[in-house]
Amino acid sequence: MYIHLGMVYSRNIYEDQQVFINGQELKGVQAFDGSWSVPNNNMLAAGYEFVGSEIEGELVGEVNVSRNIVTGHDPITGIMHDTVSGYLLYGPDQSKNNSFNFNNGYINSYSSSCSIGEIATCDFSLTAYGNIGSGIITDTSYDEITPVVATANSMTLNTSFGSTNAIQSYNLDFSLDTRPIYKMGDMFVPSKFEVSTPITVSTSFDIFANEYKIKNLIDAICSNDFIENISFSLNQKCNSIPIRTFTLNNAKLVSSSISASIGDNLSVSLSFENQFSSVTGLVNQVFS
Amino acid sequence: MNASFKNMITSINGQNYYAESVGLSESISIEYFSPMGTKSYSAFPTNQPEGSIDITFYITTGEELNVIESGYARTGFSNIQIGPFFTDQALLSSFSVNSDASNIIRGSLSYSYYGQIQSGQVPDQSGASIIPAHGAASSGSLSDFGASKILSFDYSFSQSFDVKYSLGKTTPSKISLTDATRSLSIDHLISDVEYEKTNLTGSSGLCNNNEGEGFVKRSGYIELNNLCQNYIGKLDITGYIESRSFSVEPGGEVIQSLQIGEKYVRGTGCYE
Repeated sequence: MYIHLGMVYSRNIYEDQQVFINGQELKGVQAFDGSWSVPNNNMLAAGYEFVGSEIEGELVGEVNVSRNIVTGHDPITGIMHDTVSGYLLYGPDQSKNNSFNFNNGYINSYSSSCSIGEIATCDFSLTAYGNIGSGIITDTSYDEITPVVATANSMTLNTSFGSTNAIQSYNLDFSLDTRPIYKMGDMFVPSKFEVSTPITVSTSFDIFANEYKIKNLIDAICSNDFIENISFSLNQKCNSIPIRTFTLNNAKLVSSSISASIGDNLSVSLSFENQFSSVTGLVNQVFS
Repeated sequence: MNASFKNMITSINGQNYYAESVGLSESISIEYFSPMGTKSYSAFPTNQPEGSIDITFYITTGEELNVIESGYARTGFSNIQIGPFFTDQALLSSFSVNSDASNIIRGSLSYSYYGQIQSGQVPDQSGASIIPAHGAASSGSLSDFGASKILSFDYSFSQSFDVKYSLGKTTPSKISLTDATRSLSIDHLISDVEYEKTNLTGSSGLCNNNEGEGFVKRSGYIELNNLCQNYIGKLDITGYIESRSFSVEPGGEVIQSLQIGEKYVRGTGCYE
């Protein structure tokens, strides 16, 4: 009896892939999603019906990256105010000969979160206004690192409620509404970008309440009771060296909810907001 | 009659247009008459039916523009056929084109016609493939107005006629052009404009400062191209800056808008 195996296809698994942005390899990447689409408009003309399709809209691509925080350095925070380019490198058996490139991109969202039992994450997404798809590979190097992980039990939180109540999780996120300016004749290439302001950073905490006193909604009127300085550091597991710190001065409490049920701990969710007039101002404070 | 979108091929003076939408409407003036002492009434048409034709179309060739512009300030009738409907007594009322940097460029036409629309055979569907003018490939040559790059434009031409009937005739016997204007509105970033050139007047009231600034007649045009970078046509303007405005939104640069007006005077006259 003969068994004909035929051709076997190789595949790209995670060890064959790396993500580079502005010449730096991102560490701790858990997922990369890149996409583009052509906004074609199907044209119909009286007497002819379908007469072709033509582009109407913006030629942009989207990239989403999910990461675990495994180093004390995040290149993303330093490039939020300017255009970025990069690529996902791939190829079977670590050949690294293919790439999904993105150019002239702007970070449009950033988030970080952690809850009990998890490793802290740090995700971002960007919109690419230049070419997206295949492109030039400028670097395929891989620098081995020893991951330093921030776990939930190695955090330092400075809040008004953290000392007597068990904080279960945090979530910090913000969006950057970047508007490309297209000029006629420029063939879909934006000549300028404007960021809508204010930029709102939202931070929320879930806590098991012990002594926490819910604030009274009516006290939000003409009062500083809802404003506090918050900071929290993600420290290396088993020591106190911070690998990521978030600072939110004058954070304003914007929502509060309480939940109780048989058998569960009384839990409280608190959401804060900070507003910034520029990306640079945001980066300088939040990631200081 | 059995007609649908696929049968409504549109042509003006023999030039076919790729119409995204077409609309016709017509009406007649009626005088209702009730003599005293009766419970009945009579009705009389007081004039010939009149109607209007509205067409929005993809601009694909310069010939399409030429045929329309041949009706600028002219009192001669145009022939229009839309599917089975046709008239040979149409006058251009308005033509407008607007676009920005991301969209296909479309034209909007409005004709007035005199006498009831006629009808004939329903034409068969035709086949075509078009590459229309596009804002991403088109640009303005408007340096006289201080603008180097523009974000969007709105070009329009409109005219009106005095149409007279005479006793014993069922068709218009005299047509006079009463007014024709052409205008162009452009939006641009304040950093893309030579600001002094957009001044409405010079520093001393209505006088000009330097040549080409203040209240002075200037010329420019919008060049229409398709995404394959093929030239399609031009939309000209020669006139005065009538107004300007500035707007800004949070996080953004100041956008200046210019309104340029032209009294169109070519070919005034009358049609007997």
